Amino acid sequence: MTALVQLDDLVVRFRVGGGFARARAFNAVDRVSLRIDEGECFGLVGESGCGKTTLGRAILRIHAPHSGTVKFAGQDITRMGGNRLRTVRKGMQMVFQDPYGSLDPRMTVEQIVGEPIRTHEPARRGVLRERVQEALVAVGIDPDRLGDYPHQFSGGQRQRIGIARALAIRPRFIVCDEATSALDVSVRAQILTLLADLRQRHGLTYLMISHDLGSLRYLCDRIGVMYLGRLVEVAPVAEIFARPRHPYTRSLLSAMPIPDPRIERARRRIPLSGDVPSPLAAPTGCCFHTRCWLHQRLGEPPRCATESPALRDMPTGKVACHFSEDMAAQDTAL
Amino acid sequence: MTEPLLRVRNLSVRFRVPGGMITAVDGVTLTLGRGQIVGLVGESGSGKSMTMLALARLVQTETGIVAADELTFDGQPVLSMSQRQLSALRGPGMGFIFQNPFNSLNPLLTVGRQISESLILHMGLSRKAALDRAIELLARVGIPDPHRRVQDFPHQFSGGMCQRAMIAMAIACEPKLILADEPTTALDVTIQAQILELLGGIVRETSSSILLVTHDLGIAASVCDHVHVMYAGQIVESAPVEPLFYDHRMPYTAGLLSSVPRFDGEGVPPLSFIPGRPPGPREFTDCCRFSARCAHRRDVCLARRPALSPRGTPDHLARCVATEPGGWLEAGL
Repeated sequence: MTALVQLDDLVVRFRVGGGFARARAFNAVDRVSLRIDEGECFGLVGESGCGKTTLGRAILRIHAPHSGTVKFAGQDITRMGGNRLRTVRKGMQMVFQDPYGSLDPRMTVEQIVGEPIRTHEPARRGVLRERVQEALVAVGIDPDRLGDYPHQFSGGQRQRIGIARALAIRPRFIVCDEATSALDVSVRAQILTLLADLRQRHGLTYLMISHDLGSLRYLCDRIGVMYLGRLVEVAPVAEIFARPRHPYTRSLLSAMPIPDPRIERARRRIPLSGDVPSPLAAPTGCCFHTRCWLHQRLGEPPRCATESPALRDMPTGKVACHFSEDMAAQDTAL
Repeated sequence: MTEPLLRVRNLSVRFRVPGGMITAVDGVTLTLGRGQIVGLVGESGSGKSMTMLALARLVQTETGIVAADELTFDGQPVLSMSQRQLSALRGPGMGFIFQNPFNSLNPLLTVGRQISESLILHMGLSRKAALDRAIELLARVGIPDPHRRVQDFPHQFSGGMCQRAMIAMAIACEPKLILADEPTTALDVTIQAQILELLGGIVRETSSSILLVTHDLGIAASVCDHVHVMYAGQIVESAPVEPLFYDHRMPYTAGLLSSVPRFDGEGVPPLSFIPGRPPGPREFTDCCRFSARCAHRRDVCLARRPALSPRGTPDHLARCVATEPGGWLEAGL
């Protein structure tokens, strides 16, 4: 398989605070290496502020990387700009979380869905309406509603319009940033099914950003887990749910409620104490060690606080934990 | 059997809107025992939050009309209470936890001051005694270093800590009932697990009851003793937690459960979904309100309004013609 997206040691740095003497910087995405193959669906999970959205935006070059490289379809786009970047961006699109905020209320559906075509393929204006209708049909919206405005649609329908806009210029790669999180349960299942179906029909590659493990499992081939800007585990979807290798992944899985009372009440939770630390005061060594149950179980080995673990190869994936091999034994002893 | 804490019969909430009236909550009947966690589960617009607000008489009286055949809390009729009686009821009787901890706390007052307020007002404590009690409460809800944090302002707290502070306020006067509206929806899952654990602990220790409004079936499965499923302003199924999940008698409940993509178990089961969307209050009809989306629909579903009636045991109710005795789904879904 060929890599469509390849990140090497990517760092995205943000500055916060007042005057330049007091300004501080932190890495919202910290030394992330990742490849997403053509046709693959890669899921990114983590809690708020972990950098998953920033990572998605950095691939689309909405954020400029501080260091490291971003490659798309074999081309290094890290420092690319102007017309060349615009050409590359024809191949990538994004679907946003909020179906209310992400569509301009003063534009008709035809203008919204047609906008990427007007931007990227101005020569094809003659077939604009045809292309818009084609995209609407693909997402299950009545193509006769071209002239309607967003407020005339329900939340689920608006999300379909957002997806149609992403599809309109026939991209290869779509970043879905919490694309189903704002929707009701019954409607969310419709959109997940649609995304799976579109991928099949158009051979799309997805980056699915979500905090909902169930949605990711339904759609994704591989999943990456982020914590404080670092990628702490990457594994095939079946593997990560059956045998998580990072203590954070293990806690995250145990914290997600399952809609089955007998299973749910028989489960062992592996609680995390406290809150996620501020990225401005990120812990030394392993970024997770201040909340890590495995670190505590092992008698707080000093290595966790001094040495940042690399994302190393495991038989079925990658993990950034010094003591991952000890996890299974400690887990059952809990 | 002892008198239940809360008894509601045929509660409705209607609103005056331009061009007429809409009914947001229609004929809700429920009882809540002592020391129980009862869930109100539904999608947006199903009327679950409005039901909760109506129980505490918190619906804006200028536009909303709350009516019920019976609404008693701890033996007292709530609907006929004066504002003064209501205030006395809410402090020591009911505590509230809302969805967004950032918007629900006053940014200009310290956390300690906000917790003290109800203690001074309702329990007659002195300012000093109330602050001491506030420190104890912050410790109880798991805030580290409560002596120092009691002087903090809400912006100095994280989201999870704000929600803990809200819970401390809610339990300050040791209320018999805690009304919690999506208490963990704004929080991350690891924090959500901590908060649910805390709420469960409070019920075990104090025998308070919780009415929990949530859209998350996983949370209902995790902590509720009894669950009411709401759809389009009505309760459509009501059962103890196990029958609700394993022996539901309403196609909507079944559809909702199979719409949740699961991350446990072997393999990836196919995801089914309910076509269409939940109706808004202007679209409520007199027939079965779910019939437009129901795969088991027959003509009779559109002809009459189904009653919420028992299925097997008196505490399992469903609003569906098909699962009534003699119906085409009587044997189960």
